[in-house]
Amino acid sequence: MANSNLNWSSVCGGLYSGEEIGAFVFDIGSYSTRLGVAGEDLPKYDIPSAVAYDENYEEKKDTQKSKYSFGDVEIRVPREGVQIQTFLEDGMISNWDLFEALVDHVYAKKFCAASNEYPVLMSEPSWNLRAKREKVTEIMFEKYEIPGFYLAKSALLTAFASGRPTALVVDVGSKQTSVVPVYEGYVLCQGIVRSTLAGDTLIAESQKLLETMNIDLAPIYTVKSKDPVGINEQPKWTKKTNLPNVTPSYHNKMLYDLLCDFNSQVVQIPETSYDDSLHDNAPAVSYEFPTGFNSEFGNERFRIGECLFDPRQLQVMRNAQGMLSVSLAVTTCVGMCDVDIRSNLYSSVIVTGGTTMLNGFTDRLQYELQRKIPPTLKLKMHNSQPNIQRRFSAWLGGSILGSLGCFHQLWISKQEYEEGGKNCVERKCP
Amino acid sequence: MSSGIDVNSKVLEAYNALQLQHNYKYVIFKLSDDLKQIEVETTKKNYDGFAWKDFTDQLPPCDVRYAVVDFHFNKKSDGAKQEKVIFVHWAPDNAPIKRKMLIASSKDALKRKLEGLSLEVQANDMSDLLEEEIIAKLDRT
Ligand SMILES: Nc1ncnc2c1ncn2[C@@H]1O[C@H](COP(=O)(O)OP(=O)(O)O)[C@@H](O)[C@H]1O
Repeated sequence: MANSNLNWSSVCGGLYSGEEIGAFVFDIGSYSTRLGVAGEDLPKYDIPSAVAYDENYEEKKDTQKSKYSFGDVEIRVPREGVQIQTFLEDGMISNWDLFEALVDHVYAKKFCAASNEYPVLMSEPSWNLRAKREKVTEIMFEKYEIPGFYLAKSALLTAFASGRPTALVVDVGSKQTSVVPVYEGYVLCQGIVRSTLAGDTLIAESQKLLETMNIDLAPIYTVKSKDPVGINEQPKWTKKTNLPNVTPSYHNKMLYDLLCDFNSQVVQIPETSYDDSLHDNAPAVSYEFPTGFNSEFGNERFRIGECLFDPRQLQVMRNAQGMLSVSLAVTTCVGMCDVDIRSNLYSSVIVTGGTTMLNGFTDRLQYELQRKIPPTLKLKMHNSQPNIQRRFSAWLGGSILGSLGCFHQLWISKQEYEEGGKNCVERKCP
Repeated sequence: MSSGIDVNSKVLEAYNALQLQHNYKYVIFKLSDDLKQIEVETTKKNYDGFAWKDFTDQLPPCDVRYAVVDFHFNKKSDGAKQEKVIFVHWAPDNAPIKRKMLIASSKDALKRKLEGLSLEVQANDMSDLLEEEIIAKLDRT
């Protein structure tokens, strides 16, 4: 796992002494941003893409504290007037001030390196807009004065890292699901299908369920102490007094954390379509909340998992626009691609993204697709990668590419940028 | 997006010997040790009694390769003898990730040099290299 405590100089002096560091690799996701050095097996840092910023910073004029804070621990400190916000929308960078604040932080506190010394390989969503690609190129060259830059589509990095120049990359992340057809090393942009049914949808479902059950969802930062209690007994806990006046965005982030944890421990994707009677006898899982309250969850955990494959089961965002079941997103995507390549895509389905780590995900997707696609087409899902790689696959692909000697001719060099301007990214990084 | 890797000049020679002169049954290509080139690993002279398995046995279980094969079969409809050159991209799932990344991102550079291929097979395990399936695909074209 990425270790946020390692500092750069100790790394250089230790493992990498004498070896030249090739490039930095940034894989930016809406949930977290993976950062590290090209050629390594894992990103050195996996930090939340949520940034905390002090909205009263200007008034306070306290130069000891900075306006922004980053990192799993830092953003979770309760403070008055501190907002939590992410810089991405639709997987694309949208708040450039926050993005720059993060990059500043990364160079100063994580890499502890001068940005003008190392090229940067950055991932981007396959649907990234031209104006945004140009803007990030401009910022990296103008503000950070990097010597070289490459922008690589994450679906492509994931496909390549699994040895497949042709693949169907199914990415179920926090805010969206995307299905991206990759053919012969290129993304077929016209075939991309995106759906807002993803990890956060299940989080909203769990919240609704737990609230209906009248479970107190007090996040951990509000809990001073708790005593053990038996299952389903009233919790015995005391609330922290003298808490600062936190912002709603901070509170919601802490609640989100709680629900994320609940989902990853409790939610299960049923093997076949969810059915109350079938799942009533399913094994229950117990979960303890920050207040100490603990309970068992049986068929609920299947009902929530089912939503990814059947949005009619949704309680919260019913009839919301743009919600396609994961399997429908896949068949729609392939249906938009040329008939001749459909069998190639179905025989190389790659599953990636944090939400696909939910128990039973891959088996269920396989089951659904098997039922939907013509029997003459061979379906093959690539799921042998260990779970840890599943969240880091795009970063890893970038790490390898960025470390190849032969790849260096493909970077946008500083000189090319200076001569051709920011629009050279279209040509150099197709 | 591609790795920028070079293709050794012997690669095209070997390919032409297979494709044009029918000297070889198959040729296997690998990444050079310094990872800067794609080079020829094995050339297999044409011989009688070739079985598809003779070729697939040459593919390493934990490493990546490319190959071209002079593939013979009989058409289902009229039994007519067919000879086609097929390209195999071999990247088993348990090969090291670095090798998989390289082979996938370098394929374009190689394939652009090879003219006259009838079929390409992207194989990640032996089940992608079943002879019947390859024949069925070639029969359709
Ligand atoms: N072990 C897990 N089990 C279930 N869900 C998980 C797990 N780990 C992460 N997630 C979910 O995955 C999502 C983040 O996935 P990720 O692919 O990192 O997102 P993004 O690419 O949008 O940054 C979040 O919604 C989180 O709740």
